[in-house]
Amino acid sequence: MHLLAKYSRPAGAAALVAALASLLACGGSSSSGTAQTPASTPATSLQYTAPAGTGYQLVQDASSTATHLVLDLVGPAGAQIRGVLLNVAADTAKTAWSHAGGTDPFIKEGQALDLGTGPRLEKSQQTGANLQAALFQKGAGAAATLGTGPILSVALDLKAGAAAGAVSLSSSASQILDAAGNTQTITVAVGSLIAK
Amino acid sequence: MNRIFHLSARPLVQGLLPALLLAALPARAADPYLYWTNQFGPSISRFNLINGTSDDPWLTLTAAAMPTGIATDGTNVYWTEPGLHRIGRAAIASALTPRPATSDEENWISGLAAPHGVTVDPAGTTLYWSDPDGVPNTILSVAYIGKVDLTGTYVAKSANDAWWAYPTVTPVDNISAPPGMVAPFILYGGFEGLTVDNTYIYWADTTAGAIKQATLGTVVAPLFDIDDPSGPIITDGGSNDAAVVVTGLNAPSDVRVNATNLYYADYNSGATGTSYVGMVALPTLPIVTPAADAPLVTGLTGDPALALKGANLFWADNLTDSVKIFEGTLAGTSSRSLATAESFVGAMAVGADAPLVVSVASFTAQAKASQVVVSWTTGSEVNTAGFNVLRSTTANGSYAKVNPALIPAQGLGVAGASYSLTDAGVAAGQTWFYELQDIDNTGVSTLHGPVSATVGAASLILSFQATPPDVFLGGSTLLAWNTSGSPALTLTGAGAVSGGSLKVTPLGTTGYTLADAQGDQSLATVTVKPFGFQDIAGLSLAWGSSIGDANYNPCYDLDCDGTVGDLDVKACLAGL
Repeated sequence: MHLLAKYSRPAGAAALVAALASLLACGGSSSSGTAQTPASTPATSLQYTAPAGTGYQLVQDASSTATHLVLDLVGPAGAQIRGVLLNVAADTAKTAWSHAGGTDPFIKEGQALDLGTGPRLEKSQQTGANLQAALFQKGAGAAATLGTGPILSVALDLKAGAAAGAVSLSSSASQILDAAGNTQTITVAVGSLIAK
Repeated sequence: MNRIFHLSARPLVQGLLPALLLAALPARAADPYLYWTNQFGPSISRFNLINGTSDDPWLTLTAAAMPTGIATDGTNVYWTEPGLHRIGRAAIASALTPRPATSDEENWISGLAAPHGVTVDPAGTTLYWSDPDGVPNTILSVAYIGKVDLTGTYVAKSANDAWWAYPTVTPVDNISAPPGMVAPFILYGGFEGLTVDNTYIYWADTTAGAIKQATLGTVVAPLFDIDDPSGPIITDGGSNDAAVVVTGLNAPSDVRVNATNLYYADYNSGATGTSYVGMVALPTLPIVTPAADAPLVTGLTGDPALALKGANLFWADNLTDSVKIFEGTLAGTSSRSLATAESFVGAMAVGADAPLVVSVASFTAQAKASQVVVSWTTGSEVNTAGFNVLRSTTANGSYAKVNPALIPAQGLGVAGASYSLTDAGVAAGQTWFYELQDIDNTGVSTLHGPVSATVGAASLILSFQATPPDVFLGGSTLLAWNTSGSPALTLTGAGAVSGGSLKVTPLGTTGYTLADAQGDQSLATVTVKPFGFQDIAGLSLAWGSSIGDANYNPCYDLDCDGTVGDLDVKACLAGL
């Protein structure tokens, strides 16, 4: 009896695999996004669709061009923070982290934080597909209140000859330093990116 | 009358007896075994409490013997055979095992009715047995307790000479009854297990649901003439009446006593797991309602049998599928299964006065800072009350007890235990000697050792630490120390040091050892880690703070100047 029951399950298992495959294809994670696009000739532009929601997320900056995507990190309006550490990863086969227009090689400071004068706690580092971007205020002064403007910006360039299709983009283990001086891990929502 | 007598006499008698008995009574031979009867074997098995081996069975008996009670005097084992109306005896030194009991052994006393319980007094001079059926159709057709003097010599008699003629049984023994046999001794109740101490005899009266007691020295029936069964016997108990010391039981099957408590097994309804072992304190006698006493062992099945030795209690759980023999501490702190019996256990016996058997496997003294740790382990503990640790300044000097109270024995029979005592009452710069004293349950002690430990002079280094103990690569930490006086000090990697502190900038995790001239050392380990992105948040918060500020963190004060300044920030970021 047990053997019969065991060997009657393949149909159910196949259905489960199909469901999982479908779920994976749809994305669904709030911190990553991909889209289904058939492989084609080399892409000539990047198309980014921002995620929904009002939390910490990456949105497209207006200064972006067809091949230079500037992504702004924005947070919930009214939140008070002293700094942020953004961890973000992109498909480096099709894109490359690039200068966002600031004084740092990868970071462009937004309007939310006041980094003061003298040494600035603005630091970035690329390791493979991952980019770490840190922007913090000095000392225990007043925390910054977030508005609609970006906290910081980072940028991706479309690589020449990159195949058209979905470009993986994700974020994890990002942090903020809150008004009380405590480090909090945050979820940064990422939209979908397509090389066209 | 007896109750009043018991109440007034017991404290005095108990207080005086131990010293008198030690001087007057012969020593009993060591008997390392726990014995039990397998009623349906029929056989007798035994477990060596010293080396943990079993003779299972040890003696095989005649079919239908139904061995029930069992006792030992250190030389012989005695058992009852109610099915064959007799009491058997065999020497414990019998090496061959298993072996059939001989006819002479099984017929040591015959012609009884259906003897159940049997016990030997602490001195090993008198054997008592209970015979709840009496001898039908004779003047002994009442339940009785008989006794026999074990120090007497046997007299050969005719082959068909039995003790009391038992009408339905043809006497088969050729062994005469020992002289000094007294039966009936007590005429009451449905007797099962029984036991004696130096003053009283106790028995489980299944009919009355009680534990009863009588004074050994006063309740003595007229001698029974073995050659004249119709001769003088005890009449009604009358003044020989027994005291009821525990009442309200269901059907008690066994009883044991030590100097402070009485333990009884109560066969409950017969349902699995409803029998138990109870305990009452002797000072609360003679009348006790057991419901007020918490059972010591519960969940037993059948007629539990008991044995008592020193600080340990033994009981048999007569489960239908697996009869088990258990050993547990009287404090109820632990128990273990000793053996699996081959059939229903009628009773158990253990050498009650076996000498202390404790094997000390190790005994050491180790000097620590201003104290000595004395440790010992035992390979076995039998009849062990506990230990004392004694200390002296010389090996052959006067030793004084270190522990304020006896250190209780923790071992269970052949299972030893480990002990440790920290002696902080020692002066530095001196050698101390220690002896270990083990004490058995009769107060006899044995010394082990001595061992010694030399406590060095007190360290001149009072404290030594690094602040912070964790630094980022390129950062510094402050090593600081306090000393007694101004000793010469050396520091790993720095040589001679003075002044109470030193800033160091280790390039990796480093252990710094500060040493004084007499060899005392103190270690401070500084852990070095690279500055990472995950550390920027902490740096930002500490930036601009100084010692005393809430946000000051010495980890970010790489130059150890008391402030997390711009230079510290640049140095941290440079490490990224």
